[in-house]
Amino acid sequence: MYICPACGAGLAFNPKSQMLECAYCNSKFKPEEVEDTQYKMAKGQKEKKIDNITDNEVYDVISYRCTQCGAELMTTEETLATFCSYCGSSAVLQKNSKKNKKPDYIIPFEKSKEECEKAYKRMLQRAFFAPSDMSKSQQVEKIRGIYMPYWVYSYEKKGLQKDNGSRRSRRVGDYVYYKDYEISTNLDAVCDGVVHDASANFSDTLSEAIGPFSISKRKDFSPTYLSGFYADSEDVNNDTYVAQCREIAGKRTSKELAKDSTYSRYNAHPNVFMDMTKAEMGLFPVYFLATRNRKGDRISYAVVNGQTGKVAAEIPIDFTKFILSSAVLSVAIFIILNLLFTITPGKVLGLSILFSIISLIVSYKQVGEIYARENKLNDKGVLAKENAKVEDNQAKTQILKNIKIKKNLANKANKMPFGERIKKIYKPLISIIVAIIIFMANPASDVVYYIGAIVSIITTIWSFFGLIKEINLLTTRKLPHLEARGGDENA
Amino acid sequence: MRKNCMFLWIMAFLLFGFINPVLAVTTDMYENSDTGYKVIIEDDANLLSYNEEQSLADSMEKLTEYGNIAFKSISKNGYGSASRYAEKYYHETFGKESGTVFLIDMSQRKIYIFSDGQNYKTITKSKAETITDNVYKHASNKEYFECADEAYSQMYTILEGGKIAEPMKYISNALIAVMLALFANFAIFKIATKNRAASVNEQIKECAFSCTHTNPSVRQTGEHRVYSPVSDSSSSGGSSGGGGGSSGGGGGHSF
Repeated sequence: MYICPACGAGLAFNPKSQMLECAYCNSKFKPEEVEDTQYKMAKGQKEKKIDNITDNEVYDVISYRCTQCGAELMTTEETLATFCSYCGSSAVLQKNSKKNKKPDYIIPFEKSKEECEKAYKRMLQRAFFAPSDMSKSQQVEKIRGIYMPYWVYSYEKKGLQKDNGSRRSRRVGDYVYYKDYEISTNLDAVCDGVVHDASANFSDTLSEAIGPFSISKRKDFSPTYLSGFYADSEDVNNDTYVAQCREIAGKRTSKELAKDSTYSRYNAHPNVFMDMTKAEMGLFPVYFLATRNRKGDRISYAVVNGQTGKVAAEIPIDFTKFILSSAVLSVAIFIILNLLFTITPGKVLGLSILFSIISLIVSYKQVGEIYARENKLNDKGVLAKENAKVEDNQAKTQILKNIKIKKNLANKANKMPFGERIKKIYKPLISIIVAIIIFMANPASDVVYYIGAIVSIITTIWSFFGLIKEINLLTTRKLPHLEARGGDENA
Repeated sequence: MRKNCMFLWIMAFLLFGFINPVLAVTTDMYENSDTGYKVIIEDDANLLSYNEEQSLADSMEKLTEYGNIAFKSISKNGYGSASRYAEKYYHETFGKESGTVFLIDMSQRKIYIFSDGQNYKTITKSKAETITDNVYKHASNKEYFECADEAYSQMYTILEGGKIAEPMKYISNALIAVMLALFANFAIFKIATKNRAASVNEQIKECAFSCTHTNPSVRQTGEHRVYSPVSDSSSSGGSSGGGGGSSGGGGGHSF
C-alpha cells in the first residue's frame, strides 16, 4: 500500500484525475513521483523501504488465490479481498506476498467504477430478458477494476516487397489473354501496437469485444497505478497470437501500399508479410463482474473497457421473463394479424414448418458453439495454456495427441460431430415430419391442420426451451471455470 | 348451301362445347328489375333437387341488389383447379359485371367462391376463404343445399355490412402470433446482446503506423489466357404488354 506523505493514510489511484489521491486529506500525487519517494506499508503495519527500485525486473505485490477456482489476482493493497472477481466465490482467498515480473507498459484506468456501473446497467436495459439478479445493486457493486495482461506486438517490413498483377492484353477467339507482371518496391513499414489479451482467464470473445485500447496513452509501468485495483498476470505465451496479430498488421500495410496507383493499374493486391520485431507485456484496464446463476454452478461475465467504457457481457435469458414477454407480444401480434390477414389452416401449417426449420438451424449452430465452448476449443489462449501444461507432463506424447485431435476438431467448422448434433435437435424435426405427413394426406378437415400446427407449435416451444437453455449455457461457464492449480476441481 | 351452313353451325357448337369446359346451358332463375343483376343456378353435378334449386334461388334473390349471383356445380373440371374454373365461368357468364359465383367442384372435392367488380370489394379473398371454411362441413356431409344456402346467407350478411363468425381467422392468427412472438423475442435478445468484436479497421486505427516505399518497378513475367466465349449481344425485344388481368378473386376449401 502506498501511503500519503501528508497524513499517512492509504493512497488510491483516481481514474478521473489520473493522480494518487488520499481520501482523508485530499492530497494528490503523480503516480511516478510516489513510486520514487514514498514508503510502503509492509505486513504487520511496519514500514520498510521499497526494495523493488533496485530490481528493475520485478515489483512487490500481494497475491490472492481463490481456493475455489484457482484464479490469482495481485494488488498492492494490504486489505483482504473479500471475494474472487473471477468466480464470485466468497470462499477464503489465500494471501501471499511475492515479487512479480514488471510489465513493459500500463494503460491507467480512465473510467471510474461508477461510470462503468452505469454503462453496464445501460447495456442491461437493452437485454430485456436478463435475469434480474444481474442488475441488483449489491451485485453491480461487485464490479472490480483489474489490469489485464495484454501482449503488445510490433511488426515491420523492411526490404523488397514483391506482388503479382495482370492486365488484359487482347482477345483471340474465345480466349482473353492477360499479361502477368511482378510489381516490386522497397518497403519500410512499421506497425506498432497490435494487441491481444494474454490471460487464459479472459475469454477471447469478451476481450475482442471491448477492444480496441488506445495504445498511444500507454505509460511506463509503475506499481503505483495498481493502488485501488487488481492485476492479473499473463499465462499465455506470446507465440499464441503472433500469427493473428501479424495478419492485422499485414492488412494495414497492404491497404496502404494498394493506394499506389501502380497496384490498381496492374490489378495487383499487395499481400505484405510482416516480421514480428517485439512482443511486449502491457497491463490494460478492464472492469470485471462475475455473476453466478441461481443454482450457483455456472457463471457469466461482464467486462467494461476501463479506458473507453465499452461494455461486453454474456447475458443469459431469464426463462420466466422470456415466456411472459412472448405472451404479451403474441397478444399484440394477434391483434395486428386480425386487422391484416385471414390465413387458412394449410398456410398456418406451412408457416409452422418454416418456424421449425429456423429453430432447427439456430439450434444446430448453437449446439456446435456450446460443444466448442464446453470443450474449450474456441479460445486460443486456453488451448495454448493446455499445450503448455502438457509439456510438463510425462505422458506428453499421448496427451499431445489428444490436444491435436481437439485442435483439429476446432479447426473444422463448428466442431461437433454431426451425429451428436442431430441427437440434440430432434424436436423441430418431429414437427416437420408431422406437417409433411399432413400435407401428403391432404385432409379436408381444418381440425387436422390445426392439430398439426398445434403439434408443431408445441415442439417449437419445446425446442425453444432447449434454445434458451443453450443460450444460457453459451453465456455462462461451468465452475470451477479456470481449473487452475489450487482450485477446487470438484466444486 | 343451307345444309352446309347447318353442318358448320353444328360443328362449331360441338367444337366450342368440347373446347370450352365451362359451356353449359345457363338457367336464369331471376332477374332484379331495379339493378338488372341475375340469379343463375347450374347444377351440372345434380346435387340439388328441384325444390332445393327453387329454395336456393329465393335465398339468392336478395344478393342481386349488389351484383349477379350464381350457383354452379360440376363433376368434371377441364381447367385443373376450382379457382381457375370459377374465374373462367364467371367471366363467360357475367363478363366484367359485379357479382359472385359459388362453385361446388365434385371432381376436386372443393367449394370455391369467386367475386368480381363491386362485390369483390366486399367479398374479398379472405372473406371468401372464411365463408368456405364456415360451410365446408355441410359439403363433407353431402348437405349441398345447406352448404350453398349458408354460404349465400353469409355473403349477404357481409354485403349488408354485417359480421360473420371467423373462427379460422382467429385460430390461425393465434397460432401464428405465438410462433412469431417467440421468434421475435429470441431475435431481439440475440441482436441486443451480441458482443461484436472490434473490427480490424478499429484495431488498426489505434496502432502506431508508418509506411514508406519507393516507386514500384514493374516487370512482365508471362502471359495467361482465360476461356471467355463471346456472348451474343443482340437480344430480341421483349413483349411490350399483356392482357389486362382480372380484378376479381376468391377463396375456397376442400371438403
